[in-house]
Amino acid sequence: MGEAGHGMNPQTILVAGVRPGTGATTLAALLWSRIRSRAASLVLLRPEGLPDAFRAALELGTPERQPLEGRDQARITEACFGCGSCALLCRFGAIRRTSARPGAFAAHVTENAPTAWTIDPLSCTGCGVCARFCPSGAIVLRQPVIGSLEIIPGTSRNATAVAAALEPGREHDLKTALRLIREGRSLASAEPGSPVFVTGVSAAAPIFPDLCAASSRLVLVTAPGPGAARHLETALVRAHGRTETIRVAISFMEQDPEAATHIETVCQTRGIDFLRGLPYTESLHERLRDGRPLDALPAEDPVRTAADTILSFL
Amino acid sequence: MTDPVRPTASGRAFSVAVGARHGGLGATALAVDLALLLADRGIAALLVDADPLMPAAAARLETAWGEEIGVAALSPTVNHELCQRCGACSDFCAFDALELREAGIRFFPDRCIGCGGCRRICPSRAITETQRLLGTARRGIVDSRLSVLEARLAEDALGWSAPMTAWLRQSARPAPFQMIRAVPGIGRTAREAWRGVDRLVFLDDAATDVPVPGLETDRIIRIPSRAAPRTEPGAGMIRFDGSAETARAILRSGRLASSGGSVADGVHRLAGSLAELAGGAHG
Repeated sequence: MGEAGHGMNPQTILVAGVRPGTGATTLAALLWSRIRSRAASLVLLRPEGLPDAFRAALELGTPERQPLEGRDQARITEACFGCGSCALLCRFGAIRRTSARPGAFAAHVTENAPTAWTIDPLSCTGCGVCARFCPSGAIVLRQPVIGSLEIIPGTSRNATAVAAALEPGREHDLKTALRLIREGRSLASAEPGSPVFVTGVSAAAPIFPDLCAASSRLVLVTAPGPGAARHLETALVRAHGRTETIRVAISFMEQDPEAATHIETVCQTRGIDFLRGLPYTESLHERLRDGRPLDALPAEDPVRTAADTILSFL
Repeated sequence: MTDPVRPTASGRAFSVAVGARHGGLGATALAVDLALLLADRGIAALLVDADPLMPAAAARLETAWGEEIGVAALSPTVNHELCQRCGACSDFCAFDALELREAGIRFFPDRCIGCGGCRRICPSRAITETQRLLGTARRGIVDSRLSVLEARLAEDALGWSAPMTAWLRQSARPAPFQMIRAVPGIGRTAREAWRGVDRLVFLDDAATDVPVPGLETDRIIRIPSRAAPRTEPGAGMIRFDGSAETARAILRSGRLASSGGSVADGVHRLAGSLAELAGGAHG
């Protein structure tokens, strides 16, 4: 690993697809599983957390869970008298009337419903406009628990995965993503030279540029297919100047050599190192699907060889 | 697919969104295939690419594009002559889009989500809201039966994907049939794409009891993905065999229907069901 990966500041490698579905998460998991006897951590930013089969394939144990708090969110308290001005102020359509009687004062609606207005937690952005301008000061901002942070120790070696199982409808914003990355860094700093692999988001995520800024290296994963070169260009624009080094890997490249050559040309014109990527093999996908250890891939498996080659470039 | 057809008001498009639990399950390919197959059946279709961060559907089609139009939204402008540098706006902004510096307030457009709070809170009325360009949209024609609508956010407006998707949905009225390609996942932008649709075709590799918020379950057609070909939920209409040949065919063409075998059969059957539903809604 490079000289940046020592001491209290472990090297953070973001492995992201140029768009969803390029196999970036698989590549990151494979790279992480090929790093031997180090405290490397894998930070997975998929909102649904780590699927069981994936966990088994990576030889991970039982997760230790802790509550994960999201951004500020507005909540209407009992002091609400039902004027509805918050709903007019909210530009995100998050405040909706729950009363069948429009204009009714909250206290008059039913005894059991203290307010006639509710806030949809999945639409609320936490901007705070409603709370600031509520005439009765009835709206408070709180940071709700949006899921659980999972720290999952490896069973066969000293490596850990960090993921978060978020409530349905929640997605990682920069706050929760950086929280997970911090956790991964602190785990990796236990042993000098251990890197942190961050994955689970693509360049099509709004937080991608900020994640690049939080990482020392970026491996962009692309796959041949319609629009691949254009997606790569967009991803490179978003990452430009935000991270120390950028490398590009191609998944399934042997499936379409012509498209792969085109992607290689894009890299060359921009002076970006091009890594050959993961071949498509059924063995890898079956293992991830069925939860059989990746580590037990035969030594001559092309996927394993490819991962080791990519690691030597990092 | 046994549930009754919901009546749709005359003149309204029958709309179907294609979403997925996460990337790589083939949602874009399926959306393109279904739009083409419905157009083949004589139903004039509009394919809406509701991913303004990375539109990917039209690359699989030969499209003649019309003019690009700008899409704008309200965004603050600070009048530095009126500004007293009190910092009320920067204190209020939950997204750090305004920062108090010695020279005055500095605005970071890439962080602003357009809540309008800063304008309301400024004691000197130094902040006004003006239309700022978020990105561009364009409409294209594939053939006489199929057109495409897509938008692309500007690089300093990436946080606006949900509002841009809502804009796309609202701007996509005039077509008897709408196929909407949603971003993967069940987050805000994805839910914005399938708000109010007649059906959501959802590619899923999770257990079928994991909820998809924002839509009644009777409007969701769940399809087990190639990542979980061994699950057998009743609604599964497309069998992904997970073989290398199928994967290769899909990768090269960016389409499912050209892969042959069980996947293509399933796509044709799904298109047939949707065509019936759409026809029923209009007839």
